[in-house]
Amino acid sequence: MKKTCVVIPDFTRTWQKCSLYLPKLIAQLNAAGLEDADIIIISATGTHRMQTADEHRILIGDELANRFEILDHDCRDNENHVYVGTTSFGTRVMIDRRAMECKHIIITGGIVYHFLPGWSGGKKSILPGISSYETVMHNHGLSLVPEFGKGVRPTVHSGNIDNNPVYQDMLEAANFVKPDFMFNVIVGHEGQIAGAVAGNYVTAHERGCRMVDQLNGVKIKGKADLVVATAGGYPKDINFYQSIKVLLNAERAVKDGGTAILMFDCPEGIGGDGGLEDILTNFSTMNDREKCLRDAFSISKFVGYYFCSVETRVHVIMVTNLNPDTFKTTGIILKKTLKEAVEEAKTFLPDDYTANIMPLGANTFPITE
Amino acid sequence: MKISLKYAKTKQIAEIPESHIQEIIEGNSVVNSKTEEQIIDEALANPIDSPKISDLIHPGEKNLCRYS
Repeated sequence: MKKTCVVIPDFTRTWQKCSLYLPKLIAQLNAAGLEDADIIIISATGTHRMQTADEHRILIGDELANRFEILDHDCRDNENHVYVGTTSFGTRVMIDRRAMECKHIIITGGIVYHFLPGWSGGKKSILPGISSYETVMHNHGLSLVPEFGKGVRPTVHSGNIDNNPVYQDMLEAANFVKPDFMFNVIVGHEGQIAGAVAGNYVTAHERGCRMVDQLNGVKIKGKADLVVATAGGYPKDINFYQSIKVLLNAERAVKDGGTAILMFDCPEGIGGDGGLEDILTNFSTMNDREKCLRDAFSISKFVGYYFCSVETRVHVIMVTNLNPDTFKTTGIILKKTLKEAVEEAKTFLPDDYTANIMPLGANTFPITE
Repeated sequence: MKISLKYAKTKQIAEIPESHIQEIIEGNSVVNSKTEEQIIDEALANPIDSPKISDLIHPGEKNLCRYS
């Protein structure tokens, strides 16, 4: 048996348009002499749930779905992971056995700013993509300062890999696996593929990160007392979980002690898994939220924790249709209209306040000199 | 000045005096004349620091498991 493993994103990442690029990549494997039977496709679910046949079909398209069965990575199936090494951060890296039994591994996905490793894509197909639950938890836990009560490390944020242990740990894990080839897309403001990179999983990925910078990074004059940022309307504002992007971008354009007005309707509610609503609603102090996050890390909880932590530095007013009861203990103020939000903001602002406006808040990443 | 921002499937408007506005942070305009298909094909044909897939895969070679 001589197999090649292609790692693809999961159903939560359909924006990466796997169904568009995968047929081309598979065609190249076929042209190189591989039969379909020589190829396995693993969906890098990370710690997400298993997927349905319908979701698989949407993910890779009808033509490939008729030829291939997608294998979902199952992070909790300990029997089916192999140990590949321990990183300098102490993460024991356990990888999906089915991938490691292959001669070649090809990783695919998409690159966007990401609040843990700086940028997604590349190494992220390996960790969290096809790593065990314990491996992912140890890695993501590196986002927090080791001492309890100090929250998120200042070097762990979108657009940064320097001294970012989450990124460095993921890269070390990928280095144990040494994927043979990478293909990543970069997606434009309207959801179209605006760029793509292929090749080495480190240097090609770096090139892709620069494309993301060119697309979404915007140099600004400076932070202001008030920032008004909108997700950009439907569907970018579909739920609160997705709307974290607006907060992460907007907070870069507002001074500490200032006010942020964030606009997202959220017709589908909170989103994420139950951990997000839990951490917003069922705790009343940041320390209690941090404890909950450290006890069992999840991205959903991190999103909720992060929203609340920004509120300790900046007055946060959301224009949204979300249920105010969910946010009762967070300090975040909810309003139905921008007009009401601006009136509320004025109660916090100096008379001569300055304001930054972000009409594409989910897609513009402010960079201050 | 009148600020009009996209919200849900509509827009919301508020008044913020122009003297207070420091900057309206717009997205970068990216001109791309290539189709999605062309972008994918070109990337696959020009891998960075790596052989092409066709030079990477040699079906005749003896399989070596990635771990022992």
